[in-house]
Amino acid sequence: MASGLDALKHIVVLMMENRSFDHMLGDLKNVDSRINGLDGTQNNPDTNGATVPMQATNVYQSQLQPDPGHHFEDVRLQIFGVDNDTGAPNMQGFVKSYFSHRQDVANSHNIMTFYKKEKVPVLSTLAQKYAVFNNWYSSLPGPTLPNRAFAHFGTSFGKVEMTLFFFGPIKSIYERVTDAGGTAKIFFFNDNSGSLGMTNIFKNQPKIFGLLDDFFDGCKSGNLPQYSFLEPNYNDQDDDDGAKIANDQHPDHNVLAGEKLIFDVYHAIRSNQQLWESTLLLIVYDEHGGIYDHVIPPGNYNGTQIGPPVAPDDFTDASVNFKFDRLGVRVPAVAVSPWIEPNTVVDKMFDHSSIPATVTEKFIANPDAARRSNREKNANTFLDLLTRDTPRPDPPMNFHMSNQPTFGARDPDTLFASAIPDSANQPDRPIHGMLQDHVKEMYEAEKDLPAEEQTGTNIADIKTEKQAGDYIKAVMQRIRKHAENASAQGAQ
Amino acid sequence: MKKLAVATAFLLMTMAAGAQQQSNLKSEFGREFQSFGDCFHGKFGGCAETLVMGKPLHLSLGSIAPQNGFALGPAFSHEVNKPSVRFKINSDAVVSINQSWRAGFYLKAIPTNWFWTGDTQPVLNFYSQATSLNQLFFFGLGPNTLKANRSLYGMTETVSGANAIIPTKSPFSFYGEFNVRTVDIRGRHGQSSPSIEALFNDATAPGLSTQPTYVQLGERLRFKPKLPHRITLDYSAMLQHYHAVSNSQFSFRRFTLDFNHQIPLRKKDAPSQGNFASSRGPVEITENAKPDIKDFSWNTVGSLGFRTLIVGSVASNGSVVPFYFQPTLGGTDINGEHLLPSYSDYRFRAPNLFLMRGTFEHSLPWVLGVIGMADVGKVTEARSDIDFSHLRHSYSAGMTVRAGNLPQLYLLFAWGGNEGSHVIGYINPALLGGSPRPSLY
Repeated sequence: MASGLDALKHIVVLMMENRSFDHMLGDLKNVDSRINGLDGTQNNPDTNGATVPMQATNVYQSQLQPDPGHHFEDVRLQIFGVDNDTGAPNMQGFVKSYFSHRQDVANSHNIMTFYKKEKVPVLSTLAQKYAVFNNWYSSLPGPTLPNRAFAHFGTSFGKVEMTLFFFGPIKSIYERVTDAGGTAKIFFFNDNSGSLGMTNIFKNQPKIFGLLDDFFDGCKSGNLPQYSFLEPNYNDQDDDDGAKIANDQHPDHNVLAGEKLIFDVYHAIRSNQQLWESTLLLIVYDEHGGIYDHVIPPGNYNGTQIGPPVAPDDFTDASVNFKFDRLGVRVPAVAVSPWIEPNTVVDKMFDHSSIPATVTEKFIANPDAARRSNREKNANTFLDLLTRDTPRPDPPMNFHMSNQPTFGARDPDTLFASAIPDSANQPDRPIHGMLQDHVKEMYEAEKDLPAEEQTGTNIADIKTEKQAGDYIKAVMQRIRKHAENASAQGAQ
Repeated sequence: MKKLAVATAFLLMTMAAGAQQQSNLKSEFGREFQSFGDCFHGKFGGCAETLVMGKPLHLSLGSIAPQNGFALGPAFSHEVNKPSVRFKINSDAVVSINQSWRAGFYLKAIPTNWFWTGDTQPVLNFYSQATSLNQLFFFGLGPNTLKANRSLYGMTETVSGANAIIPTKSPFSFYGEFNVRTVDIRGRHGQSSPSIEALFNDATAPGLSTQPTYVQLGERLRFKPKLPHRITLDYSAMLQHYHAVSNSQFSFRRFTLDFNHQIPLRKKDAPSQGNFASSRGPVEITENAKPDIKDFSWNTVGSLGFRTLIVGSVASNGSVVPFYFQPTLGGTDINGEHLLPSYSDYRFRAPNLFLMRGTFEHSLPWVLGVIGMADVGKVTEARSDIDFSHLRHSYSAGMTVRAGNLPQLYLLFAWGGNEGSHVIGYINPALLGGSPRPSLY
């Protein structure tokens, strides 16, 4: 039987936009204390000096207007609590930063909000069932394009701002994979949405670009490149068909639309069993978007090292004297594969350069055939999550949408009612670990019955969920009957 | 120009009122004015970006209708998100070098908790737009007009109304519209060609001397199935009712059938033999199943397209379709669509129109591509004359700049039809964004 790493033929990365770890997944600490989320002690001062705790008051849109600041200077204020980086980082400047964008104290508190896990069931369920990263950070304390550049190139070529063109001496991971004889592609939503920050690799188009529909078609037919990078719809669009609202989750875009995109990607891979068993899906956010997270990003702070050391890349941004020796704010990251153990929590440090590093490790025989950034060469990779000897037999997940057509009468927050783990009745599905434990529990209970009342079942023969169900039912009936008889005898 | 000044004042008052009521809008203004500070600190790139793309205020630049040049003016855009609806407000007032102008207000509402229609939400548009065009061509009506009979006229049109697009989970979507239109036709004097009234009258250009107010209704059914291999079928059937309020002689109905087909040309992209992943990992995944997963994907390298467009007008006995609401073939029409591009703009005009187009486009190395198009078509005064006889033709070929597998910029040379040639440059309209504007005819 092949191991997960050997079976791996495809890596798929879906990069969403501008949400912090605590904001999206912080609530998971309440169900798994290993997850470094929110415990009720996290807060920030507002501009009146009042303490603002993190609150679960998030709705899917309309709260984060205007867009919270996430440029280098904004993030500096958020991390250091003051407008310079000479002191110690304390993650106490998020409310102040948001207030600076709109002089409205009540509005500035919205930066301290998070989603209960039930409100983002897709991301939170995948995080719990597969692997969630406690320490995945944006690559630099700045905005979208340089952070996404780290995912594409392993460096931002010394840029911390939204410079549109990256003509650097390092090839993108797509070029490196194709140069090595492999296949890699960026799938973007459509023309109107485009590909963020990848203008410079137009020179290799069309080989490197596809549309997201191509990806979904490829999942159906089983034909995907070795490495796929997926880009959501970055803007609300409308044409003669109707409107396609942005699903990148960038504030103030609709978070639920992004949940649906994440589910659609998972579902497309999961619906092709062979593809599912040969694919590793990573869902990650490019940066925190100015939204609160409580973990101080690792790095060198004026000579004081916090967390693991951060390998500088080969460039420095002289305009802000940034040496790329510390990371940006923590972002949500979830890895999904049947070769990952359930409820995996990853504590190693990652940033977006881990993406090209991982793709290189898997798909490029000679990693040093092309120049790589120092950051990328030293980045942790995540192939070691595929630890299982056999793929998990979990059934496909489904997500229930309450879809009665209404014109605003229904609370939009209840659109996704719940996550339903078993979407289809598959009685012949192999018994999974939790059910095995349940069978053992019933076996132990059955042993207390008189021998003639026991089922006589050899539980080693129970292989399917139907057999397990039949056995559990039989034991329950015998226990109930035994109790009823005992009760009747006692009455006599 | 007086109307433009009034429209601009209205635009500014709208923004000022909005600024007082919306603290978020206030903050947008504050940040925009702050970013203008870049202009005074040598950061001209940031300054230019704010001027062209800034929110809520920026400059709007673009062509308004052929023969009227590029227009420039202030534009306002703002978004207001409520928990279940996204509102987009746009307003602009632009003027071109020949003093043509356009001013409009557009409000778009998108309900976002409407997932029962799939990934596509309904759109409600409300708009009010005034357009003044100082130079339009009129060669007479019908398929056999002479190029030498070119005359000029000017037109001011206001359109106020609403439309709704209702998608479904099926390949069908529905569209409905309602608006009120007024048109004012005027002569164009002192140019190299005569003014329209010098060559034509109400008999040869219906509606020349009087233009009633119209109430217009419209409905459209669109069929756009998802087909394998990215083959695109886009069929639509639209019926519009133009009711002339003050003079029913000018009431009419119009149907438009538009059949678009696109067949992508694709190329397989596969890893080379001995690729690292293949040589390293066993292909077999399970004991019982041999996987047929392939490490390849398809690249769209070009496409073949076929389009058939039929426009027919129906007027009851004694009624006519005013010339300014009749569709045109030749060059670019008043809505900016290129039809028989080798001919002069607005070259052929009649109540009925028939056009067939074939398109081939293919990528070249780097970002370039080639494109070729062949158009045949005609306009007819009688619906029964819509057939394949006496079709005008036009060919065009040129280069494209492709991005993301698709052509985005076009530079074409158009010829054919014995009336000269044209050079045309345009950008993929999908990239321009903004609010869709109501049709001017």
